[in-house]
Amino acid sequence: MDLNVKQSGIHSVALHTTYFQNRSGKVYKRAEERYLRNDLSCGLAQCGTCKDFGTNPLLKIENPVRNAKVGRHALIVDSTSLIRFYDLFDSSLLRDLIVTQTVWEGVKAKAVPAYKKMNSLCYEDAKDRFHVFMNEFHCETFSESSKFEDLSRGEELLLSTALYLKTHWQKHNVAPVVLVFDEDSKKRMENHYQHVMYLKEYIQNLEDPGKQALLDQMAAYESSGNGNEKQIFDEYLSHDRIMEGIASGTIKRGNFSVSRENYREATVIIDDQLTSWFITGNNCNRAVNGDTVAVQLLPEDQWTAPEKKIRLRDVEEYVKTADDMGNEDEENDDENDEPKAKKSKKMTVSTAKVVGIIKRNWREYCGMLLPSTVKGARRHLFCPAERLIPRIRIETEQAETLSQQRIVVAIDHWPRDSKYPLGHYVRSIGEMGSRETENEVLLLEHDIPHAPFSESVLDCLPREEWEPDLTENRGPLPRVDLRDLTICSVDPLGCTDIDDALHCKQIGEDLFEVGVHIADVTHFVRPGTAIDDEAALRGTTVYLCDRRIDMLPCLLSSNLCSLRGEEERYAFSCIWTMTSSADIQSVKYHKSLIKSKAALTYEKAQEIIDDPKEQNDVALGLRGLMKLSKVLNARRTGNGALTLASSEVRFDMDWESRTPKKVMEKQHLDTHSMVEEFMLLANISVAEKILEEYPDCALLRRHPVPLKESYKPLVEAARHRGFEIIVESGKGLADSLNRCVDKKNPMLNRLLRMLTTRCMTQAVYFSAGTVPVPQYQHFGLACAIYTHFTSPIRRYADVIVHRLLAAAIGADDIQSGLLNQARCTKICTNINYRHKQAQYAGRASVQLNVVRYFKGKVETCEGFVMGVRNNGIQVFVPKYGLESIIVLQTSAASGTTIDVEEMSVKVNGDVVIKELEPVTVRISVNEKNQQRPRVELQLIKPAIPGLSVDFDLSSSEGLGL
Amino acid sequence: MNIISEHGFRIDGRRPAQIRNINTRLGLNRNAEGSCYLEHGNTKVLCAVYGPYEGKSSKRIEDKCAIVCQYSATKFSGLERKNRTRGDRKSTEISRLLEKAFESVILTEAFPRSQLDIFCEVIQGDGSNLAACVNATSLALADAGIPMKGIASAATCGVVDGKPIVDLTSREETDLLPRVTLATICGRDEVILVELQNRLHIDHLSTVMDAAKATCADVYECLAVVAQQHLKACAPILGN
Repeated sequence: MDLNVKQSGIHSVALHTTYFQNRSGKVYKRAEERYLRNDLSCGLAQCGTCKDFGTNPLLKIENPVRNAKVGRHALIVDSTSLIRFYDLFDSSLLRDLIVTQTVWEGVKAKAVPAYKKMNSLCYEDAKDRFHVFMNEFHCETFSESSKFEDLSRGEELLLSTALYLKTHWQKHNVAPVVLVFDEDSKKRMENHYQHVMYLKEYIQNLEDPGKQALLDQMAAYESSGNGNEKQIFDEYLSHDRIMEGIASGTIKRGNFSVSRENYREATVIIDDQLTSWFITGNNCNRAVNGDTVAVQLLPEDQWTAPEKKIRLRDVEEYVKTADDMGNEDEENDDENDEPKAKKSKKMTVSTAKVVGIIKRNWREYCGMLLPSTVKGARRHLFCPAERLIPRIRIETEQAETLSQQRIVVAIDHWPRDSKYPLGHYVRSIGEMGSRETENEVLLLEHDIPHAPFSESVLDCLPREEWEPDLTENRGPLPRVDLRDLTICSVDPLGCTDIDDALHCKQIGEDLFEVGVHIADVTHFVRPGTAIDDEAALRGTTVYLCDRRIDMLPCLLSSNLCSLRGEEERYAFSCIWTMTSSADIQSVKYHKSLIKSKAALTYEKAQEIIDDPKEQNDVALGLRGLMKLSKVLNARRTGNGALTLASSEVRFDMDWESRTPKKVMEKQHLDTHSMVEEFMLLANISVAEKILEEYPDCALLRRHPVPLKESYKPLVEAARHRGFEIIVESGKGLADSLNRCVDKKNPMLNRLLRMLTTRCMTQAVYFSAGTVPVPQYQHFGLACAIYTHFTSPIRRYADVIVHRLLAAAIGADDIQSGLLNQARCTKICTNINYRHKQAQYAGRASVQLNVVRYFKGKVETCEGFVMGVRNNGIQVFVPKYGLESIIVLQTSAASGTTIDVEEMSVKVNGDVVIKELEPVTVRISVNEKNQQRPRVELQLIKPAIPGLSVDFDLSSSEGLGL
Repeated sequence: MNIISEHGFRIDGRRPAQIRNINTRLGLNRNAEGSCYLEHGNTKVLCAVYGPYEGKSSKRIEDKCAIVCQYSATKFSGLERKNRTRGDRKSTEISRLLEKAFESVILTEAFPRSQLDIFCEVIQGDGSNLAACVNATSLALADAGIPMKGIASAATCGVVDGKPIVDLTSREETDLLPRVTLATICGRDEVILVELQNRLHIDHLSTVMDAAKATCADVYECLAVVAQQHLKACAPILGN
């Protein structure tokens, strides 16, 4: 009888049974229904029967690009073409494409990147070119049993769709064309249907000049297997054997990371243990930085040690002045002989080899083509901007035009017989050297979402003439009116996103009320809205030298949420009462309405504090704050908080031409640490509150205690200078660092602190309850728990913390998903990644500007030796945050020897330079290579024969003006 | 596997707000006063109604009819064979739910001091078992000619990413998916049974309830057709 709702679109039901295995291997049988429908659209714009069933994009515009072989047509692609050439479909030359449901599922199961692309093309970017045809649910095209014996199931389903659409579209005179990849399947399908073509054949027959670019992109795939039988790499083990090995423990799974100093060396950090295995040379076996790999330990007699030698691709090219870049065998000189020679028995470390790839971490890479000596060659080497990625071989016929551009390339595969991975050209970013292009490269390389905010995000914004309203309440706890308090903010000059303000008031004898007021971003950014999703994705505001990429739209970040002076703003307040010895008596949190009395700069605030004539409320408040902050600071340092140093520099920009004018000298004022102390206090107080309320989903920040072994470089370096570093506890470390003062070398202390920073891992966000409680601690700040609360305008973590706190005190609802640990962990993973990338991008931007700054300039500065390697020294120039390598040239180095053990350079047996000692270097821009100018260091004092050439280690290869 | 695909269809080809096909046969069991075999897609239920009769004295209620329901599922109804087919916690719970629901549908005052037995057996379970039992029971009661306020209809409705899906199959009834089984009378806004499984966020409650009510109305339409057809088929016997 089959009753159902009228006009449900259900035509009939097919029954089928499937068998499946559960996790323990037991087989089950499942009977399922499949509802076949007659309300599925064919997608043709002109089709009368299907016009009510959906958006029908096909042939809305008459095939604007003609094809020589077929008339009016639509294309049905097969899954192999989609998986292999998914980049191609970005091109608007390919129109009227049908993706069948079968193909969709096939792509989804086989290739994640292709699936993502397809999904965005079909449903977002190119809705007007793509149509998804639900062939497996369509009553005319669904077939359970096989009708064509010679075809595979996939081909058959494709064909039955084509045949149906052909008859369906007969009166519109439109023919479906099946695009396939594989030769055999074309032959087989042609027996049954006339319009079957290769994707390449179709593109070649397009009557449009733009087809050449498409053909280039395709070219890469056809060249493999050209008779070169020499296999360079070992074959990977099969998936089953790897799984077996992992289960039995002979094979480990880990993350592959290439050494920054030597591209032939890498380490694999084994997943669940804290060990890492060393991998060198061909044992890397085609793994690329970031891949998840399966590794197997080598027998102990094959173990080696790191070479302690600087090997950078551009250095080698420079030294050899190799112009045979097109040649395959340019680097196989020291394949096996050298590591053995270097090997001394006591120095070996656990050495492993890669036996399989579990998951590739390939993405699209920005970079440039290396110049080829052969005119008009088709095969070129591509040099990615990211140093850790190997060169990629691509094929293109437009090398002439591309050689002056930054381009994007994707890796396709890495065959055993190829020294380099094979890839294809994706798109061009722009003219090399222009500021926009270089910034774009930087943002793309660091995976920073930087598109302008979308319409739907901007729709979430309040009106510009927004007025605060004390009567609107989102929870039982009302907003408190604090407009009469003397609140002021202290920020750097030119800051537009002011997210914190302070006040201090004496309320009794030896009793102070101190408040930290943070912009109430969550009032505007409601969960589940487009603006919240976007902010969660961006995770943080990114600061480049000449540009800021906001996490929230400008209206919020520099107006409605910014606590500007003399304007009424919503805030989230954290108010303590404390004694003059900074003992906290009580703390309360509530949302508030404030009116900042003054938006000060650090310099101005310092001036007010120091000027005894200033006696107004602002000045009194600031002095109170200053006094308390000194007490807080002393207590924190007493607990063993570390003062660390980094190599950060900031440029003073000429905003007209967006070029760097000079390097800003960073001046440390007391007001800096005053604001910092109270922000720390607020963060800690809030962390305690939310942890107490939500012990299994509070978002916290922890800084892991470093392993003792990781301090090795620091301890060694300090020992050579005659100091002892105690690494047993944070307090011991802090104290021993304080003792390391050399009168002759005032920079020494800062350098050691920099080394300390490098020994430690970064602080990370995490959800409470995901690690054992003792690991919640923040090592650097020496506190048991910590979170971020004070900058919700530029960090998403703070937004979540605000919501948690608001929920905890009853100032807002508990929104869906807020108290979900899994979701919190997901957010943490993303913001940790975004923060890291934002930091790297910031540094890269500085490097970019250093090059730009030195264009046509030469300067002699002081530098410091940060490391000594077998074939060169690493020099750090603090003024510009530059870190470069000066390589020892063996030909010219008569009498110069480098002793890695003692970390010193000797000329004729006398020690000339030791690690951490000052040297004088000349900085200039080497523009010999027009494509790739870079900053060059020359050692002036002490003069050492052979140590004159340098290489820039800190900037990305191929980047730079 | 997504429960709702990118294209907006479910695994079996239905749209999110569509019910499965319903198949029925009434009056198969001549020993019972009323009986019904009902299919919601692959969920197949047999229901028999006995009574009202004098019944056990322990169950007797002075002013109305006692309703006793027994729900069970065959050993082979699910994916895995199960040893116990009735009396376990889940079956008992469903039995009690059915009793409560039908106490408010049947005009129990019409049969004081008597008892009415309802037996529901799930022959094949493919999701929404409780809802299928309610629907089968309504039809069986109608077949038995028991006076009721109206024909009760039920549906199970879940929520995926804030979007409701109705009439779930066993593949869709996962451990985490919150689902509500709702029964109403005659598809009107008169709820006689609500059951929730797993945790549902309060924000989604109204969407789920609205979707479930709408589905109950859809199911009711189908059940009403069945009842009318059955009545027509019986017409020659009844004589006009």
